[in-house]
Amino acid sequence: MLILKLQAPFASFRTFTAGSFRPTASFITPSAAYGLLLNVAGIEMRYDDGKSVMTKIDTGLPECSIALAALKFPKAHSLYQQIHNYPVGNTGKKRKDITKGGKYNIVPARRAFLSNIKALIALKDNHKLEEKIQSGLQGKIRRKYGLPFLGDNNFLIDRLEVITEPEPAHWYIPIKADNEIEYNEYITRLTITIDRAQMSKTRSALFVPTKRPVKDIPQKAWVTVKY
Amino acid sequence: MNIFGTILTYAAPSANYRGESAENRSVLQKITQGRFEYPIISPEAIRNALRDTLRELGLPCNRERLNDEEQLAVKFQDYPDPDRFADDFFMGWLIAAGSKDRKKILKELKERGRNPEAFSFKRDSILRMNLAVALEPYRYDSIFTQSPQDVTPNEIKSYKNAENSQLLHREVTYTPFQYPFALNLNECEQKKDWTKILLKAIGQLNGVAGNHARSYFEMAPASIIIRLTNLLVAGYSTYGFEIKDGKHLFPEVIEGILQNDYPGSEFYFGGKIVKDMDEPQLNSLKEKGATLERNPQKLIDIVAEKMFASGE
Repeated sequence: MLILKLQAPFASFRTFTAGSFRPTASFITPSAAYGLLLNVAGIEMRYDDGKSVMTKIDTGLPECSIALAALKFPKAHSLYQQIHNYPVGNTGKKRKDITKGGKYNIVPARRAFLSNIKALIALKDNHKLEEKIQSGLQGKIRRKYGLPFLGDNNFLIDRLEVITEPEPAHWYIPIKADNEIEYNEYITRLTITIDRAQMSKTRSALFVPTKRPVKDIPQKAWVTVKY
Repeated sequence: MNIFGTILTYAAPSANYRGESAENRSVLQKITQGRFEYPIISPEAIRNALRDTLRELGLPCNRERLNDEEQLAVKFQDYPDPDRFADDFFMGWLIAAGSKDRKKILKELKERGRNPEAFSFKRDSILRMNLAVALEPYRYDSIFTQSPQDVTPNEIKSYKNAENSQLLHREVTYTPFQYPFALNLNECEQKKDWTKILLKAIGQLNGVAGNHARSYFEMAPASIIIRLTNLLVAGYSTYGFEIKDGKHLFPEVIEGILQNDYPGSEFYFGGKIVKDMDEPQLNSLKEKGATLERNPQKLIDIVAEKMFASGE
């Protein structure tokens, strides 16, 4: 098992969305944590099939179990911006040619983001991946893909380090019908695996963080990430 | 090898809005930290100004702002080309094209003599930046101004500004901002000279904080701290600048170097933070291998020379 302590000033974990409000999940999702770990390990998970508009996910990626915890719950904010987009319909069409395939319209939008992320990411059931993550953190792996970030390439990470003893934290537990869980206000839906081409294949679950910080990772907090 | 840096600007009045206003009140964008709201400037605004600065410093850039359109607009010279355009190289792009459009674009590229095999529809940004956050909380300062009535006769010009005098109300703040940036130098290898100019541009950055006609605000560093490291993350709080009694401080890292939490040789300090240090602290940091330079632009030049020197 490997436990990483993550600290970042800002982050966003976008849910699938279109429109003028760009929301964020209220905490790092298992799918985003998995993407971050693969990035650190130097494993490319993106796949360009040469046809699709969206970035697809490669096959044969390493399987593992992930558990997430908040050392502190992040705060949500929003930012108003003029952002570039591909409009629906004819809006801004006369500018299409001059942007050479880029987004040719500018609209005001409200983008949500989180601040002060202090989290634990635990990983188990894949020793090889753990080793690669450790090497990646020390800069020992020649990586194809730049510096790690949290949901938006502007959102840098301050600290990402292996810890041997987990600190007391609020572990996120997926809610199941037979779970006995102390419900609290931080209950939230988090994505576990995503499929950008076919949204119905995206897996998500309702998660509830333990009401009190606990030191040992609850067995029920583990989720399997398998693509 | 990677670069992690934080810049702290000088204090000046600024007015970063443009996103949204409340009736005739132009509002600053802010976030809440603890009990107070702090003004912020988006990394997109910083990146936009950086493109202009790269162009000013002589690098070829693909995207340019069109300043005389009905709405905010940009123009590209060509499809993205990281070998030809510095802004494409550092800031990446996204062309959201389906298979039909992809074929059309690739055909067009081939006709123009470009190699479609070498073309990519997406590239992530090599340059990483983050929100600029004010050091001082917003204290509800606002300025009232009044625009004059436009009584120009129609025979002179048919278009008039608002016919009645308008009362304008805008939020302003008097504060320095700090913002971090990062670069993976392995990705910059092919364009070492461009990377050095990019750092230079960061050292001379201007025209970011909005409403430039009324508020001249420089985003260039008053103080700067840089770490050159093999680690993938900075390893310290990248918003670590503090100001106490007018002095620029970065206690987590300075204390960390002195206590051997961090290798001093990986750290570079420049500008006011160095001028504000007393002699014993300066000497202790030098003994630990840190590089200190009173002029932030000079420090950036030192880092620019050093960053590819290891041959990595």
